[in-house]
Amino acid sequence: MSEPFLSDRILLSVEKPARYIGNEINAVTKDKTRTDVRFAMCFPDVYEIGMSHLGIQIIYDQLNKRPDTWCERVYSPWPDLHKIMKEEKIPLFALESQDPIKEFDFLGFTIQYELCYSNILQVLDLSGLGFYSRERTENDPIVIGGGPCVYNPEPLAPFFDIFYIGDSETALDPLIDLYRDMKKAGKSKKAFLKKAARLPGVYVPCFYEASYYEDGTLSSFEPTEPDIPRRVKKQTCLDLSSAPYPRKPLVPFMRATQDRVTLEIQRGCIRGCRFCQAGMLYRPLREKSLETLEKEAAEIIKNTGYDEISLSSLSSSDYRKLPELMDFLIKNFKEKNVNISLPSLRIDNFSLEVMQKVQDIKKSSLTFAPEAGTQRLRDVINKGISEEDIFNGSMMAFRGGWNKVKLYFMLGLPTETEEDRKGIALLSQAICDHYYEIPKEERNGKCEITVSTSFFVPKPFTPFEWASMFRKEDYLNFAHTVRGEIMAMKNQRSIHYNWHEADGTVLEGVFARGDRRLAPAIVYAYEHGALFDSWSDYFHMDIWLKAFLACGIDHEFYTLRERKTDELLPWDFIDIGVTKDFLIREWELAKQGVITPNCREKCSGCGARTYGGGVCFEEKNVPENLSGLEEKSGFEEKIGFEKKSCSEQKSGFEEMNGFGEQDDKISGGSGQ
Amino acid sequence: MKVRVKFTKTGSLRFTGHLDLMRFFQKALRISGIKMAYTKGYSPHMILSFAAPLGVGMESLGEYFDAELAYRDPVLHTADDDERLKDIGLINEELPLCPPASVLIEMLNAVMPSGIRIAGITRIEEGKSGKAMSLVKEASYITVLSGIGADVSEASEKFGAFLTEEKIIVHKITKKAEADVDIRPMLHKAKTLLIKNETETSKGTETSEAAEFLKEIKADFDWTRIPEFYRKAAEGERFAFYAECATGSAAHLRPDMLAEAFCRYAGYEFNEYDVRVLRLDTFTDGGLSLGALGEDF
Repeated sequence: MSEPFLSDRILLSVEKPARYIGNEINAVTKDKTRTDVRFAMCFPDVYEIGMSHLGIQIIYDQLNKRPDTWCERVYSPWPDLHKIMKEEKIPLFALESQDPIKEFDFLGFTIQYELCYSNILQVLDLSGLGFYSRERTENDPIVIGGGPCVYNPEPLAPFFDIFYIGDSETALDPLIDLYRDMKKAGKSKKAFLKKAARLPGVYVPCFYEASYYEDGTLSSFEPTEPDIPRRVKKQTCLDLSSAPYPRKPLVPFMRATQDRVTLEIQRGCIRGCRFCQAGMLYRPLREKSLETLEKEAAEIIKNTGYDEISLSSLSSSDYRKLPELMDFLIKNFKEKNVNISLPSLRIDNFSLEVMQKVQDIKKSSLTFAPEAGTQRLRDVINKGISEEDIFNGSMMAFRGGWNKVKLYFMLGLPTETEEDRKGIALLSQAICDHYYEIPKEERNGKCEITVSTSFFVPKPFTPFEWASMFRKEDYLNFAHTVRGEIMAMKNQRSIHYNWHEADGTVLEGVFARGDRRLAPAIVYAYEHGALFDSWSDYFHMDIWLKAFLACGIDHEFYTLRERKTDELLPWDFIDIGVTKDFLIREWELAKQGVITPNCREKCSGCGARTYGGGVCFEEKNVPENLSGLEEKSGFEEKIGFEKKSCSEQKSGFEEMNGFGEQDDKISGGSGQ
Repeated sequence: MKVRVKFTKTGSLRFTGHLDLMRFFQKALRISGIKMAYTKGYSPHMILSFAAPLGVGMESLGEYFDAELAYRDPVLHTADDDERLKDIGLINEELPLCPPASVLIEMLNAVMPSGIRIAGITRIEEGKSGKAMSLVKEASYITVLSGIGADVSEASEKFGAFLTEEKIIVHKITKKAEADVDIRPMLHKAKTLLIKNETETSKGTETSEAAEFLKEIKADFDWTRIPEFYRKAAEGERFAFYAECATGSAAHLRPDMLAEAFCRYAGYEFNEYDVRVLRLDTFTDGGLSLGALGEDF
C-alpha cells in the first residue's frame, strides 16, 4: 500500500478524504520499475461519479492486462482540495501509486459531457501541465481523450495530443504498442504523434488545419502534412462476446453513484430516435451472447461482493435473449440476496412481469420517456411510440400495482409549438384519468405523477445536427408554459413538475457543435473560476459569458443558427459509418413528421453496415439488394474498413451510462 | 452461529469513514465465500453489528464486529437461540459444519486490502457475551502529538502534572448543544509513553520496556505489530501517551480531545491535524477485551 500523497493535515481538512487514497478492492498495483508504459486514466469529475463509469473500468482492465503497462486512475479534486492544491502548489497524483501525474507516459480523459471541459483544464493545471499541447514538453505525458464528446473534439482540439475515436477494444492496444516501441527507441514525441496519426481511430489535432469563411462558417478542414489521413474512422468492436470485459471491476469504499455490478448486454441501438446521439454513434447494434453474459454476471458478482446487478444498454428490451437472461439472473442470484435492476426497458407485459419479480412495487416508481407531448412531435423525433402505447403501458403498470409514474420529456425540440408543450400537461392528465378508471378497491392509493423536462441540445451525427437552439429566456418560457398548463389540470395536485436550469443547456449547446476557436474561452473561464460546471451549485454562466466576450466569440453563432445541410461541419472529418446523406434524409423526414422504422423492422441504409457486423447481419435483416442502400459520404474519398478480429481487441471510451438516481426504469426507450 | 471478528485498520485506510467500512465488510464477506445469514424481508441484509466506531483519521489494532454465520453452532442451544434462528429462517441442525476459525480468517484475509487484517474470530453466545456494540465501555489508545514546540521530556513532565488535576474541563460542542464537561472521570488511566533500551531479538526490534508495557496492558501482540509511526514516536521521536478512555454511548472520550486539553494546560499550540491516534483494543465494563469473551473454534 502506498501512503497517501497528501498529508494528514490536508486529508483531514477536506470533505470525504477516501476520494484520494485509492487501495479499493480490485485496484491494480504493479512494480513501476518493471513496466514500460504508465497510463493515468481520468474521469474529469468527482470520484463518486467517475468510479461509477463503466468505460474506465473497461480500459483499466484492458491496459492492466498488458504486462508492459500500468494503468492508474485520477479524478477531479473537489473544490475544497482544489483550493488547497492551488495555494500550496501541490501536484495532482494518481490513486494507485500516489505518484504525480507528471511522471506518467499518458494522461487519458474519458469525455462524457460538455460541461466537464473546465475540469479537464483543472486536471492539466493541477498536474503542472500546460493547457495547450504545444506548450507541453517532450517529457510531459501524452494527453489523450475518448468518449462521446470526441465525436466533435474540436473545442478541445488545441489541448489534446491525441483523440481516440471508437471502442477501445479495437485499436487502443496498437497505439500503446507503438508508443512503447518508439519510447524504447528514443524517438521524439512529435515522431510518435506522426506515426500514431496514421493508426485507425486516431486523430492528432495538431496535424489538421481549419479555415473559415467571412461569415464564420468552416471553409476547409485539412491535414497539414501529406501522409496524414483526411478522415478518421470510428473503431467498432464487432464481437463483444469474445472481447474482454472486466471480471474484477474496482469496488470503491465510498458509496459511488452507481454502487452495483454493471453488466453491459449490448452496444448500440436499433431505434433511431432522431435526437439521440448515442443511437447513431454506436451503430450498428451488437449483442453479447447469453453464455458470455451468464458467465460474466456470476464471476463479477463473486469478485465484487455487490448485492445488486444492473443491466446496461441503450434499450434493454431490444436484447433478444432478455427473457432467458432474466430467468438466469433471478434463478441464480435473487435467492442469494442479489437485487436485479433493469434500466431502459420498453413497456410491455414481459417487462412488467419481470419487474414484479425483481422489485418492491410499493417502493418503486416506473419511468416512461415519451420525450414529447404530442404524437406529431413524437413522430418528428422518431420516438416510435404512440399515445396508445403510453396508455396501455401505464394501465398495465397500474394494474400491476404501481401508482407512481415518472415521465420524461424534452423541450425545445425542432418544429415544437405551444401545442406540443401544452400536450405534456394533457398527456399527464390523461394518464391520471386512466388510473382513476380502475375500480377503487383495486387501486393502490393516490396516483403520483412526476413530470421532468430537460432542454434539448442538438448533437453532432444526429439528424438534428443542423437544428437551431434557443435563448435561455425562451427555454424558461417553454417550461413556464408546461407548468401553467399542469396547474390548470383537474388532477394538478397529483402531478409534480420539475425542469432543468437553462444556462447549462446553452453552454452545452455551444460546445456540442463548436469548433477549435472556442478553446481560448475555456482557458479564460477556467482561469476565472469555472469548475464543476455540471454541478448546479458550482455553475456560473456569467464567467462563461465574460470568457466569450473576452475572446471575441459570439457564442450564439453556435446555438441560434439553423445550419444549412451543405455547410462543412467541424466534425465532418470523422467517419462513424452512418453517412451524412442518411442524416440529411432523416432531417427532411423529421420536418415532414414521417417516421423511420427501426433496424429490425427494415434497414434504412444508414451506412453502419460497412462495419460488417451487428444487427445489419442478423439473418432476417439482410435486404435483398443492399448496394442500392449504400450511401456515398459527403467526402469524395471513401475509407475502406478493415475487419479486425476482436480476440486481439479490447473498449471503454465508448460507454455512456446514465448517472444520478437510478430507478428501475421502464421507458418507451431510453432518454437522451 | 454467532462470531466476533477482531480486525485492524491502519495506514491510508484510516481515512475511510465508519459507514464506508461497514459497507466494505459486507462486500468483503460476500467475496470471501463465507456463508452468511441474512435477515428476512424484501431487502435482506447480513446480520452484522459493529462495536465502537473509529473516527476518520484514527487507526486501530482492536476493532470488532459480530456476525451471524450460516453454519451449524456445535454448542447450541437455549430456546432463545432457536428463536433467533427461526426469525431468519434457519435451522441449526440443517446448516453445514463451520470450518475452523483459522480457515475463516484466511478466507477473509485473502480479500482484505492492505491496512485491514483479520486478527481473530471467536464464537460467542447470545446473552452471555451480548452485542458487541452495547458491551463497549472502554478503549485504549496510543496518541502521538507532533508540532507542540517542546521536547519530549519536558512534555512528559507536564503530562504527569496534567494527570494530577482533579478536573479537566473541556468545552464540548455537539450538534444539539454546547457545554463545559469534566473529562477527568472518563480518563481511566494514562501515562507518557517513553520506551528506551532497544534490543535486537529474533522478532525484530524489541525492548524490555516495551514488553513490560505490553504485558501491563494485556496486549495479545508484540511491539513490532504496532505501526512504525507510533513505535518510533514512543521510542523518543515524538511525544506520545497511552490512555484508557471511556468509550460507548454512556460516556465517550476521544483521545484527540484529551490531547487538546493537555495542550491548553501545558500552553502548547494545538493543531488537530498534528494528532495521530492508534486504538489498541476495546474493552467491556469489567476491563475484558471484547475479543476475550468468545471461545476459540
